[in-house]
Amino acid sequence: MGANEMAPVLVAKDLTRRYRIRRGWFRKGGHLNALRNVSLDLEEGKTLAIVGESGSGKSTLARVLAMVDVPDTGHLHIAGKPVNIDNRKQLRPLVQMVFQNPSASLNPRKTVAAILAEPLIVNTTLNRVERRKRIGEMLEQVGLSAEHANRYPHTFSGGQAQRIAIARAMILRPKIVIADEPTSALDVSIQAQILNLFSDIQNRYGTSFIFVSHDLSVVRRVADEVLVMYLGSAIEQASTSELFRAPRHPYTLALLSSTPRMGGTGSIERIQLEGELPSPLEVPTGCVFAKRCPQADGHCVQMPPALEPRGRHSVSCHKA
Amino acid sequence: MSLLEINNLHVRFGAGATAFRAVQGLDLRLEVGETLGIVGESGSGKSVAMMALMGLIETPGQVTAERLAFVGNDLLCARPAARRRMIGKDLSMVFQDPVTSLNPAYTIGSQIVETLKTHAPASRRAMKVRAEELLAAVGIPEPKARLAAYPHQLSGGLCQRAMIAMAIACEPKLLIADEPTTALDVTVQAQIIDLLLELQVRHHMGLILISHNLAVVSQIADRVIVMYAGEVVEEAPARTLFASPKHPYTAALLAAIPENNPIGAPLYSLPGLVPGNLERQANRCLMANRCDRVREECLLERPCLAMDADGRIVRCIAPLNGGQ
Amino acid sequence: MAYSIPESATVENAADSSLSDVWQHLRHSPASILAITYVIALLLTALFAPWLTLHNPVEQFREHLLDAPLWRGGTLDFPFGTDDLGRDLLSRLIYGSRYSLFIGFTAILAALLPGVVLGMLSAFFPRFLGFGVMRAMDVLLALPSLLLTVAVVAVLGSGLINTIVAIALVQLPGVVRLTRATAIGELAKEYVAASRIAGAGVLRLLFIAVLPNCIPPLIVQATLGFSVAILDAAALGFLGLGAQPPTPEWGTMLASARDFIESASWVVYLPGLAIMSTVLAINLIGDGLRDLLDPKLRVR
Repeated sequence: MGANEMAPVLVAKDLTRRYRIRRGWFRKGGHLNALRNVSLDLEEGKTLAIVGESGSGKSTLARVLAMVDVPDTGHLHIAGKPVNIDNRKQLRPLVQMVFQNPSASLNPRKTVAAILAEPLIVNTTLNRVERRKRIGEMLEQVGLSAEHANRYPHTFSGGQAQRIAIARAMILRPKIVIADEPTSALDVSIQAQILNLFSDIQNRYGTSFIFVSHDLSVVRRVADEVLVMYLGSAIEQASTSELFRAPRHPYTLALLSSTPRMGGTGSIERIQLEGELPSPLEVPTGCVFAKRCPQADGHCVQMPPALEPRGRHSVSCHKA
Repeated sequence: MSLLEINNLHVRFGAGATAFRAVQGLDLRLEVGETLGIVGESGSGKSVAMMALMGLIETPGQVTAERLAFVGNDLLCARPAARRRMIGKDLSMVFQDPVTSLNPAYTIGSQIVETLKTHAPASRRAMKVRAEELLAAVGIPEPKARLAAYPHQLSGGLCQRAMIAMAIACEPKLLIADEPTTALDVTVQAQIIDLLLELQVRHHMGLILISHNLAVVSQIADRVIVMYAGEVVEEAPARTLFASPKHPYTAALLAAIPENNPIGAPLYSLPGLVPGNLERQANRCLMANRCDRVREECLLERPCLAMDADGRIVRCIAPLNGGQ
Repeated sequence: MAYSIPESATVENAADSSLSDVWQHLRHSPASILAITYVIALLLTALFAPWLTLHNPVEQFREHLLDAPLWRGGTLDFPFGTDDLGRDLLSRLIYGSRYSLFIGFTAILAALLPGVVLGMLSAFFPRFLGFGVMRAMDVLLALPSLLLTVAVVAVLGSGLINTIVAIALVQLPGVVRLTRATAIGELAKEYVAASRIAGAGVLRLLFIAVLPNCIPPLIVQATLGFSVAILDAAALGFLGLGAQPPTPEWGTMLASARDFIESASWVVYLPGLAIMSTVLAINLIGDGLRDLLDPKLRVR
């Protein structure tokens, strides 16, 4: 059995998540379509990036994959086991999460030791001494020291706090770590440190990562595969090198050209997107991107395109 | 006469010897129509310096400077009323998070009208018409309808455009934009940057752009200042700075950008942390504990911002030779 | 190594220095210092009452009915004078502080314990528990507080314990609402999601993760509730529904002194002053605490 045939560590099929919006007693509520039929799979030891802007549904997707949120329809399989209400608790140690704002994700009233001990207390039978040992080891591995365990989160800088959050995520040695914009709130030089830490962890433990980001330059470095989302739908999926070499969806093209690059505006022809992101409450019937797409025509507005796989590069566009 | 002249600006929080030195000896000069980029990470003092210029620093912060002049008018000795007249009309600021920078209890239209009322009062109808013009000028679709919108009803990009509309309402001579695009999506970022450029050209405004995103700054700045731990460490024309940085910190910032690192190898990263209060009082180079080119002389005294052999302004006793 | 151990340069105080912070802050507020001193003095006198008083508070001295206090020509025997039954006022005031403090403490405790639990549970289960609990609290809030205490005492009978129950009941809705509001705010934060992902169950989430973060506003509420409790107890005493004579509770003392406002005013104003100054001191402390805890919360 070759490496290609190893079962993916996470498989998601047709995930849909809608929120009911109540507009008071006298007005008809609407539905917020946060996710619409999103499918993806994650191979062991690899990194999948989920790219999108606000309203794309990437954070909702992250929460669903982390089993924090329950999808309305669709299936989720982790390490081969289907996820349902009964086995969530057992599957928890396999999937952990790192959040965007490091200081908000650490309980301000708990010491670092207590924060790191929590996953161990809930999921393992280690005693206090063993826990302390594990916590010390984990702190060392993320570049801090065991003495930091007795301090409170607010006494750390942003980068250090994110290291603590990563330590917490890794302390159960999960198979999958979902990182939701883990470096967006950090300075460039700290971002570099944290990204290095992630790759170090992947090399050491073989953890699979799902990296949610809007920063394509970061994605290009860390991801093996990329999934581009727009307004709750997956519109393009490919390996990183393929996506950057030959992007096919007009939105991906626009995204790539908008990413600020060193060296001035003259270097890349910027594709101007018309208009603003439409509200996720009023998702258009046809292609979600039609309203802003420079290539859209009548057909696009009426018919939603399906995700057409072509090898490992799938696109959801009539024009691609 | 320069548009803006700042000499030896110091901003301290607290009193006495243990005061936190947020800005240490900043010199800055801006000409009419010029775009200056101020680059730095957290703790560099870039935002604090601009807030000091606008008079937004309150106790326990203390602002001292040898000279703080705007269009030749001395801001230091100006009384609060005189200062307020200058600021807001000729000198405007746009902040990072547009949604929280706007008052959530008032419509966009009324907030713009309030700005106009303070600095360029006219009849109500005239001001409303002007507000609509401004919204159109910043590219907000359906400006008339948007006048009645509340900030929470608009997306981040639209809110930022509205903020910019408020800032240019009185045709300022200088616009300071503090991380205007950091809270926005990438595609919207690009639009806002284009908008700022366009407005600057159209109104012949001076523009100061503060950002930690070097790519954004490299796109629109003529000249760039790099700040570290409250000090200016390098100053140069944008193209020159990014092509051949002289100060090790500038080089480190550029090197840490994911684009500038080959895929597969770890990203270059600067070890250590930004100096805290105690370190800033020491008489040595503030980068010494993180610099890989550090020598003995770096620990003996704080280097001055001076011109080096190639005519470049840098605060380092052993600056890099271009193309490092 | 591409990343190295960052020096802990930027952050000054590693230890959580709350106590010294408290002192630093309060140092600049003479009102708070005065208030704290007063309350500590009160606590000490209440504690050491038997050793500090000259006489038994219920002993009646027939020869010294309505004796004037020192400042009106009285003797050192009865520094604050005596009441209409010849009982030493100073001793009664000092023993009365015991009752007030006891009622204050137990009433807020009796309000806090069920209140916090109900508040947290209604934040976590908004549809099932939350709705019911909040409507019940609305009913309690709809009744004027004094009327409610009177009603409860009317049902349960007068006396110290029933007074405490009545006062606690009146304070309950405030505690529940505050806890629920704070808990709802905290539940939306990321560290709660992180605990959930770590596998924490409902109980652990509520009481180990979230509760410590809800405490600061509750502390302020408790301090202010303390003074309200004292006032309510005094009111009940005044109405004859609380502690019964000859118990030297300040409100009860006021009730029996009504007739002497003109002839022997000290019998009226001394207990009144005692109530007022205690409530004022506690409110000042509560204010100081609120100022202290809010900016600290923001910093954190």
